[in-house]
Amino acid sequence: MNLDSAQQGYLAECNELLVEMESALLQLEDDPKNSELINAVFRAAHTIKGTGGVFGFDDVVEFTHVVENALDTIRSGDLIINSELVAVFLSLRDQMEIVVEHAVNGETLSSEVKRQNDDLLAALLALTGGEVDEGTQKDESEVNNKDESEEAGACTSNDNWHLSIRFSKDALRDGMDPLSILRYLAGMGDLKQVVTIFSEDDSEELSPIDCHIGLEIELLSDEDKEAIESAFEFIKDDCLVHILPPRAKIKHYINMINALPEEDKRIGEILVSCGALTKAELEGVIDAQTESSFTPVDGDVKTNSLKLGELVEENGMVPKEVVEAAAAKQQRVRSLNSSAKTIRVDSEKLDALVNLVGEMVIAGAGTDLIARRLGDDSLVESMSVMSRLVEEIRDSALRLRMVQIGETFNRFNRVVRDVSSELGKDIRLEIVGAETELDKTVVEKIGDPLMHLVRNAMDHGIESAQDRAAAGKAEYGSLKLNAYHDSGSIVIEVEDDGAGLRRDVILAKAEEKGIVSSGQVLTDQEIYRLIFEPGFSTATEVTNLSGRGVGMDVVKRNIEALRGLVDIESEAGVGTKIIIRMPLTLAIIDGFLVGVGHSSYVIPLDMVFECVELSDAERQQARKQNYINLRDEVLPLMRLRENFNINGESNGRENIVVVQCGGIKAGLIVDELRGEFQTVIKPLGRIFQGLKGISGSTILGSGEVAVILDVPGLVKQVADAGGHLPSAGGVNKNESNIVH
Amino acid sequence: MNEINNDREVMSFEGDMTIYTAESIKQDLFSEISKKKHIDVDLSDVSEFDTAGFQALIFGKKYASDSGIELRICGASEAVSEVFQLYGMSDVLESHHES
Repeated sequence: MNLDSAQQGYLAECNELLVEMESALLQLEDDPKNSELINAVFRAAHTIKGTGGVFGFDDVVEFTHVVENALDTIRSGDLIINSELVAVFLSLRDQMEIVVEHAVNGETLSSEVKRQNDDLLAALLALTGGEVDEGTQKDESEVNNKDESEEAGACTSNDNWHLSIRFSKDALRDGMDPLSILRYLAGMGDLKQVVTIFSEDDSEELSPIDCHIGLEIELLSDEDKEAIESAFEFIKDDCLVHILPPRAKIKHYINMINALPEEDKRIGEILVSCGALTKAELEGVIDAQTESSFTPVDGDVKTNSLKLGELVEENGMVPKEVVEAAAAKQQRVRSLNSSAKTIRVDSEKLDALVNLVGEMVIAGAGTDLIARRLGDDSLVESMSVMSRLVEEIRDSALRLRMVQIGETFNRFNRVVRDVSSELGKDIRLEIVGAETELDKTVVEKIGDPLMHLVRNAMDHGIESAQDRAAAGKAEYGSLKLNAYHDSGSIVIEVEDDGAGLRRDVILAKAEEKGIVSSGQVLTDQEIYRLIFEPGFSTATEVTNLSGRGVGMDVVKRNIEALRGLVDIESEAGVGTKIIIRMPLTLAIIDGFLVGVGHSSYVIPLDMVFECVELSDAERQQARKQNYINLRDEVLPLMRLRENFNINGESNGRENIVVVQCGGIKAGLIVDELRGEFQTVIKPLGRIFQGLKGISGSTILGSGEVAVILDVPGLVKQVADAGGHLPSAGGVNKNESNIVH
Repeated sequence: MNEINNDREVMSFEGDMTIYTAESIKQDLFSEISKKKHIDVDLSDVSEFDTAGFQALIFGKKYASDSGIELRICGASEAVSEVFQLYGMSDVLESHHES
């Protein structure tokens, strides 16, 4: 049972790591030398392998091990990443997902999956070539032969293993004493020479409990590379470890020198002093570097070639590479620190907290009411302090649940990449407002609808390159994901610069399907919205991606289930924009309390635009027309008393609460304005789910139940009815009966 | 003679020189270094010695030589010798035998 939950935790962690890995890989495509990104990919693979090993998932370990080794070659600078490699790593990433899932579910790999594994690993080895010499089935001599055939493959005369280690600052505090590694190595062979390198910083500033030590070791041992590597199993992640076999190639030394943080010249001298290189060999290193003839597989290494030769001449200058390595190192440390600053909390615990805070808000309102009734000034005062604090707690509790939408958006980098290559279109994704925050539950549920919209836009929206060229547009299509906050909602837009919706085609199709009757006059907006009708698809050809006529209506239903709205804007030849408007959170709202008769209603405060008193003359007018003239604007009205079928007449005065949603204003006629009110949304029971105009309920301080109005729904109802609202009471009679 | 005695200080450490004590050992060493011309550090009674202790000592030695002060290690316990030997720095310990 316990193990089971641990495995689920592993699965969740893997998924998270794989997401990180994917985004890092995609960024690497544009920035192939970013060591932080390479490290992120490596760490992900390493952690998945390591934890998989703890659970005894041999398939995972076996597969990931090869991937990890290839990544390690890249990390140590032996191989430069290119887009071909990125593509392979992306497929490997997907395969890892499959393998991990199989392992967690306790299934053995099918021959199909195994074959895929082998194919992918073969593809990887083909690209990394002899560079992946460690840990793979290839034996050392075979690799050596291969290397020898390359130019610049000159060997050193050193018979010892050369080990170079730079410890992380936290090594000692983490209980990793370099001494234990030295002792372990001493047990494996003969420590011929150890050179300890100290930080050259001012010794007054250094703390002895930080680790400032680097080691260059000559080890004479018959053990194989894997055995020697095992000494570094626990520090591999945070420390810089280089293991060079006896008679290693000059170029391996060059790569190592390149990767070490110290000045190259100093390292060169140390290598000579500990006997790893002879003076002549060091000169060979310098020569090889100036010629940069060691260029590995990828041709794009020129910038990476080290100018050690120059360095020796311009003695005293800090080489650029060192600065870069140091900066990269700092960044890596920083990123490690930042990851340690977050904690993982079960979302149920958060829900429980938010729920409790909600109860506290209600209890606070009750106490406030009693305090006012008692009329004790000091009590009222301290209550108001309490209320303020409760409000702050509520806000921060809710903020705990808020996450940035960026992670969801970033997933689409991969989708756009894959789909555009599948479609043979060049499509670029632009992401705006990735830092916009919204509730985690909303984020989780928005992913699928967004996926539909993005695929749809790429498949149908954006034209082929020829069509684009013919229309005089840029050859590549642009897809834009945009998120921002707008009056208490989050707005997410999916915008493409494709051909736009074809008004007449949609209309013809809708008539054919009987969705609209011919001769019906519709605005452009109304026609565009037809694509959200069930079973509607204008694509004449059904493709792999979309066009089956399911999708858009599912998108709409899913979004409406989250109290959201979908809208669409389109211009022929310019593009289409789909706008999704969602509530920020599903838990607590700032409400505006109004009264009709003896009932109380809550209107989400973000949507209240203004309150206007209804004059007698206007009352007469409103009775007849269901709209009034508000400062020369037509304001459609809805009488809540009629809508919810409340008996009795208002005692004289009536007020209009002007609400706004999605750019449309409407007036709700109520008896009484009772002011702002913080409230917890209590979901309505199952039997009330079909109700229109109501989104939830809440409990007032007095213990009375108030209904939370679904303003978007009401506004839509008012707008749809237009100027010719039928008698509202009649229309909603059934619903009203349920409410009361 | 007196002058030399005032100038030359023998600092003895005993017990543990480990990550738990390294910070204060470094402080002690550094404050002593700013006062004297010659310092002999006696490590014969150090029972536990780890990398943190080793670093404290090395930093002190470096600081001393940077400020033109002589810091020598006279006497080292087995624990200390083993660490210096592992780090390939036994010569630091042997230097006092010459004088």
